[in-house]
Parts: sequence; C-alpha cells; structure tokens
Amino acid sequence: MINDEIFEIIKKANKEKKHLTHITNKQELSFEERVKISLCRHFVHYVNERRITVTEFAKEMNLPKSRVSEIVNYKITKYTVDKLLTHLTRLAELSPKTKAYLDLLRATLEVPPMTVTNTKKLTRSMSQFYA
Amino acid sequence: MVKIIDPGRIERIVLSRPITFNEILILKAVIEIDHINFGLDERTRKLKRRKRTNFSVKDVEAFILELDGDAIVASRYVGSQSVFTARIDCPVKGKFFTRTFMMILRHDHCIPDEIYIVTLYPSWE
Repeated sequence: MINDEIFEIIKKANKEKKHLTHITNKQELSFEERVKISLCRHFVHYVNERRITVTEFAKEMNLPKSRVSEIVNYKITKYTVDKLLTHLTRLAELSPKTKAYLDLLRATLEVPPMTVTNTKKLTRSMSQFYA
Repeated sequence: MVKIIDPGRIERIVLSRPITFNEILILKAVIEIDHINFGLDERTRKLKRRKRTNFSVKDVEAFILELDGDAIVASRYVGSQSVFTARIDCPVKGKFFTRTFMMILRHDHCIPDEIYIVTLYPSWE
C-alpha cells in the first residue's frame, strides 16, 4: 500500500475503535450470542459481496447508519434475536440469498419433534452438506 | 512527488491450517512483520526505530488463525482489494496475552486464498 493510504486507514481505525468488530474467543459465547452473530453475518456478507459501504447499505435498508454499523460490527448486546430477524426479513427483500436462508430457517423451526437419533442424523447431514 | 512507504521485511507463509475468512478458504498469508513490530512514523513516513512489539511470524499466524470462521465488513475497497480493520484479542501467551490489538488486513479477490496483514498494533497506543 502506498502513500497516505495506510495512515488514513490507521487514523480512521483509531477514531472508530469502539465501533469496530471485536474478534474474541468464540468458545466463550452463549447459544444466544452465537445465534445473533450468525444472523449478523448475513448482513456482512451482503455488504462485502456487493462491495458497498455501510452508509450505502444503510440507505438501501432505510435504517440509520449507526444502527447498521452496530449490526455489521456484531454489537450484539444492542440487539435481540427478533429485532435482527426483522432486519433480516428486510434484507431478504434485497437479497435472494438471504431470502433462501430465511426459508431454510423457517423450515428448520417447523421441524416436528423427532427421536434423538433422527434429529442427530439430520444435524449431521446438514453439517456435512455445509462442509 | 509520490512517496512510497517502505514496509520493511515482508514474510510469506503457508498457514499451519486453512481458515475460512468471509466464507473464503485462506491457505497463505503475507505479513509485514517489520511494520507490525516497529510501526510507521507519521512524520518521516518510515519505520520507527524503536520496537513497539516483538511478535514473530508464528505469533502473527496465531492472530490470523483467530479469524477462522469470522466475517468482517470491509472498511474500504481499493481496486480488487478489500481492506478490513478489526480489534482482536492477543492469543499469544507471554506476549500481551488477551490484550486487544488493532489489525489491518487486506484481501485481493484476484488472489483468493491469500490474506495480507498490513499491520497489527496495540489498541491502547
């Protein structure tokens, strides 16, 4: 990287220090926190895939930039799972990928109670498919 | 006149295990090790003379491995590159263990399996 670019990035990073994504030990996260992070990740992917800024994304989502910044930087204490799902539903209107994911989520939640063996089998095949 | 910053020693490594960063499989890393350990002087645009950290390439690799499974939003885009900035807890025992560092990295879509660590500096600095 050349010239003032690095200094510019460092300066900006220092200014926004508290708002940046904080990478910590994932093993210490609770189930609820993991769910929230998984939901936030869809917003991040959308932004990265389209190579847009958070400001542009906030406009698309019709939400304040600060709120969107909190979501894409995983400030999960500021959001409940249902609030994130509401925003994700809005994102699904813009992204077919997110829409398909929500359909999967819905289908998963509607799975009736099964035997432990069958549930484990289903979980395993889902993980294998993802891998 | 355009002044190009000399980042000092740059190391290329193959990660001890592949990681998934932003849903992309990363196998290699390029590390600006001198930039990380010395930092840049804003006035002279050169590497500082005094070390601020004493990380080895292996230590920086430990930081990179922490990114496994993560997705970070890019802070800017430069051509085919995306630049990312994140806070990261130090995983290196005996060297600022658990203290928070700032990491600036970039990923070039033309070299999808490689990650480039621009710098890593103490967030309390």
